[in-house]
Amino acid sequence: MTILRSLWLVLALALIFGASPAQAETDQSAIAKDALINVIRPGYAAFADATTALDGRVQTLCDEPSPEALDAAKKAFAEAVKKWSRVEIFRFGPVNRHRRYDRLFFWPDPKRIGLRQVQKALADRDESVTLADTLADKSVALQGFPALEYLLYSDGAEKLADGAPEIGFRCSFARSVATNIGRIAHAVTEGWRDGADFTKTFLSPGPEDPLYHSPKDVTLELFKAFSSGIELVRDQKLGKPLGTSPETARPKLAALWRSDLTFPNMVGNLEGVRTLFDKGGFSHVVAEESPGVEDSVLFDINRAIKILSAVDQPITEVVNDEALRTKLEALRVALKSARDTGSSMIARGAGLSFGFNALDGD
Amino acid sequence: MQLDRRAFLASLAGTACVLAVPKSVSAAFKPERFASARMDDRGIYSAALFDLERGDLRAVELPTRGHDIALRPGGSEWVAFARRPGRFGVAVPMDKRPPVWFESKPDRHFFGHGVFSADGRLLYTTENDYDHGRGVIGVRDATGGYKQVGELDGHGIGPHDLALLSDGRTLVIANGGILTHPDSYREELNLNTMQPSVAYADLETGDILEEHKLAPALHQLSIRHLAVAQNDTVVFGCQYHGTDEDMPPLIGFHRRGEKPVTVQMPSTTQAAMQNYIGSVTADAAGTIVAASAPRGGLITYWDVRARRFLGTCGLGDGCGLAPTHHSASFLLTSGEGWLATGEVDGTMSRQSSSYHWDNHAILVA
Repeated sequence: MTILRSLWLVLALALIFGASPAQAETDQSAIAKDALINVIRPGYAAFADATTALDGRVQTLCDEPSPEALDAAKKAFAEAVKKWSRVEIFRFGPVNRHRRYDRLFFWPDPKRIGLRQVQKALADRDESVTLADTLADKSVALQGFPALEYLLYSDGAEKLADGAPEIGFRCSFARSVATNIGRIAHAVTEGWRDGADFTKTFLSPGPEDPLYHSPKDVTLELFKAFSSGIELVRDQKLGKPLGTSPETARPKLAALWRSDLTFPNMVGNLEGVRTLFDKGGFSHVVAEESPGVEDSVLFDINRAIKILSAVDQPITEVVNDEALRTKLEALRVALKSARDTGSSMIARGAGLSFGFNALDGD
Repeated sequence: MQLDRRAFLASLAGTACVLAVPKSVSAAFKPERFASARMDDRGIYSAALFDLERGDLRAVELPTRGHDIALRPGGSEWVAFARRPGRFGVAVPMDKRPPVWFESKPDRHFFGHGVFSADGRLLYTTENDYDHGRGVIGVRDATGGYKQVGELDGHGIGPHDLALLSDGRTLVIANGGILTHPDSYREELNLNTMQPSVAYADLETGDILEEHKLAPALHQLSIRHLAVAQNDTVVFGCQYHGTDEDMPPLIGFHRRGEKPVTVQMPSTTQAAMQNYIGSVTADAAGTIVAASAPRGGLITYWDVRARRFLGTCGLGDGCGLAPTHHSASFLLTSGEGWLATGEVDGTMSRQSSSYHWDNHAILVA
């Protein structure tokens, strides 16, 4: 405790007052550029492509229903979710405009608002959810992956393969959600292109810019994506559904449990974090600050990805599997260590100041 | 740059997904308005009224760092206070009238917290009478430009947070117990002898009604923040100034006429808190209290009736807390720029903002 706290204080003070040699050399603009070109743009482009495929498969399912068509639509859904998962950690930029983030992924939803709204739209046969144009103005909870997941996977979804007349409404609803997801994904990609407003601010922020005043602010934004991306998996995606015991577990808080994509979603999140760290310039910052530490951060993240990828049971079963619970708890500790180490080294190397409240002493 | 700040914040807030489940999905919903002090990336301090959909509704630049905000009953204005050892306060009307600035007396400084009388006429602020090493409560006339009209005894050293009980006549004060003097800035001058307390005082006479100190072994546990929850249960949060190896309880509960009860957390949580609570707030129903631990990057939740620890949620440098319109739901703010809504079950959704949000936040309406 003493050592930890002292270390923490020294580090925190160093962040606020100190200027280590490395920090003077850190090229903040290069971090933004690397992140944009190597991570953000490829991530959203892959996501947009996957949503185009998803839109097509769901269209086919409605036009020519069959078990194969339903299977293809589900596969395309899983693929789009995986690609989304890698960019889910970015909570800034074009995805933050027009409520796109919520519209794509309304989660967590502990009160199951999305579920209730989708069920109500189905029961009421609310025609406005069957057209992407009108769906876009409806509740965000009706517009994205959780809604489509319910439509493709919950009870009654198997009838989508028969093309029975009464299932037509549900398929039209699913189709408009898929189209909507695709439109949003492409709009985000467009918002990151060369010359777009946000891209300009992101790459060369100035004192008069509304969001970022200097390149260091952009580094801070990316840093937040790194640290909160790990926290997201550790606390919200794993910790909350697992609870502290099988009795306190809440598997239905998990993301995407209906489609059994809970673990692939977490894997995607961590792959996004890893790519950001490795290809977005942060590993260089850490390597300059403390050579070798970048490898230990990557080691922890890679190990977590490996363990999560190997989980072959649905979260509803995982929460009752004591051996697996223990393993996942250990993994949460490793993720914390990766986050803490990575974050403090990036912060120190890039000269980011922290502890506004932690160090306040009030 | 084509994007103006307002449009940008609006777009940011659009993510509000995030924020608040029922709220973001209901077209009819009117978003809660909050107020908090903060710093931007250029190091400029301000206090703002904002909501999570539109961003800033009104912001006032502050000369130095702010601390807490007090809402005037009736909702006509809110007041931001300087962080200790600052000397300014500013009342910001909800309409377009200009803000009203006021100052502490020349030989006093603010501690950063204040509370209005139930009728909204008088403002009570914790202040330091530093030449005499004692805490006082300044009294100002909100109907007369916040001119100081009196001063009450703070009944301790280092009064920090304070609140009004439901009778509208009893003030409860968290006396941190730590002696400071502006000549030595924020240096703590009496850590060996400090004696924090929770004190209840009569608003009209200033008389002390009840005073509680913790057990002698906990005399270095500075009682710094408090919230009045259901049935006038006062929940207080502490910061420990003893050795790091100690893991004292950091949260306590008290009702008038009873003994204060401090409650330990599970040991792993306790260790993670780093012996420091930054803010304490009750939810809309007064049955759940949130307490932030910015050093540990954790928000903790507590059941007021059962006096029991409920759980945590992680938020880096998370400190500011405010109730929302929904019970068991809080606004969480962070020095790292996050604005989040957290539910008592530990779920949280957040959005990024470009401010370092300061220690405290309040629900305005």
